[in-house]
Amino acid sequence: MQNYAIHCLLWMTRLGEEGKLSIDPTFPKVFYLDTEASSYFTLGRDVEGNPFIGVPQKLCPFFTQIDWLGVTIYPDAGYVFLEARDVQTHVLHMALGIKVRRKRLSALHVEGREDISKQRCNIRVFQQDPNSPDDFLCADQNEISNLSMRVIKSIDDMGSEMEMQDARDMLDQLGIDSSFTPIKVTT
Amino acid sequence: MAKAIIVSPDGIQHSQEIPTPFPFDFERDVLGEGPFNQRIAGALIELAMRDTFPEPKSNPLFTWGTLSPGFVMTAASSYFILNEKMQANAAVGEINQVSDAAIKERIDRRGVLTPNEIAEGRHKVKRSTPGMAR
Repeated sequence: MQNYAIHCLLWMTRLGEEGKLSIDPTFPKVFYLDTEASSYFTLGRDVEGNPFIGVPQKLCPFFTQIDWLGVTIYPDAGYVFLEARDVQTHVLHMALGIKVRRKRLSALHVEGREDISKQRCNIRVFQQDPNSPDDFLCADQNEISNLSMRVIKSIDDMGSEMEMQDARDMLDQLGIDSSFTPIKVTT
Repeated sequence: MAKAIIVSPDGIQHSQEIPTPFPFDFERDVLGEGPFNQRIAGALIELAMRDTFPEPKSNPLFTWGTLSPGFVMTAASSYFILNEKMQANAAVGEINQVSDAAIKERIDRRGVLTPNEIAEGRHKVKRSTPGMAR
């Protein structure tokens, strides 16, 4: 449904206005949430030890209707990316980075002790009273299941050189920098 | 059986079972903030939205090329008003989705908000009772 698109656009625009969202200049389809916006989410393991990303109910229904196809961990930058990709071609549409303290990345994957190629990440919805943040309820069931997981060493691993160049060309045409600020054109 | 673990990615963490996510409320934090930055919205449309949310082949609610700020705020506001009504009598666990057609019908009937109306806050949803569940 297209009203999901409107809500996603409005949400991300507000984050951009408040400086809580930035663009990766190398691959401008990759977006970074700042500390505060990342803290809207949760990470965890269910009782069977399967990793999940918790999404606040107030971001639903649009957030869980996006074609999230994978979860990428970028330990050096301290980010976990949810990747929206074309279902058939797997071309990246958008990667949304959640800032995670390095020690807490183990909630999703323990380096050296788990084979990430065999791990699958799920998405669950949680409810929280905005006026009483400790009132917290997390769903028992997954809203999205079996997202593939991987670890990357560089943003270059997020897509092909052609995809990245196309996105950089688009950013140049838009005349903005990684914080959505217009770039001054010098003659 | 093992206990579930839930952590806050980068914020306060009181225990491994109950984190404290930063409180977020779409109506208050997003819809309630009035007109939005068109330059940022335009950039997001070109960089991510067109691909992430491709236009349907028939009967679209809008097209990315002609999307106006007034329409965005009207559609978002309509969603919340319709959603409040639809969930009012929903059985526990049964959530009715607001369709594009319902939003379109409301917009056709009531029109698109003007920039002045948005600045005056006419897009804001008036709530009768506060609560955590919609």
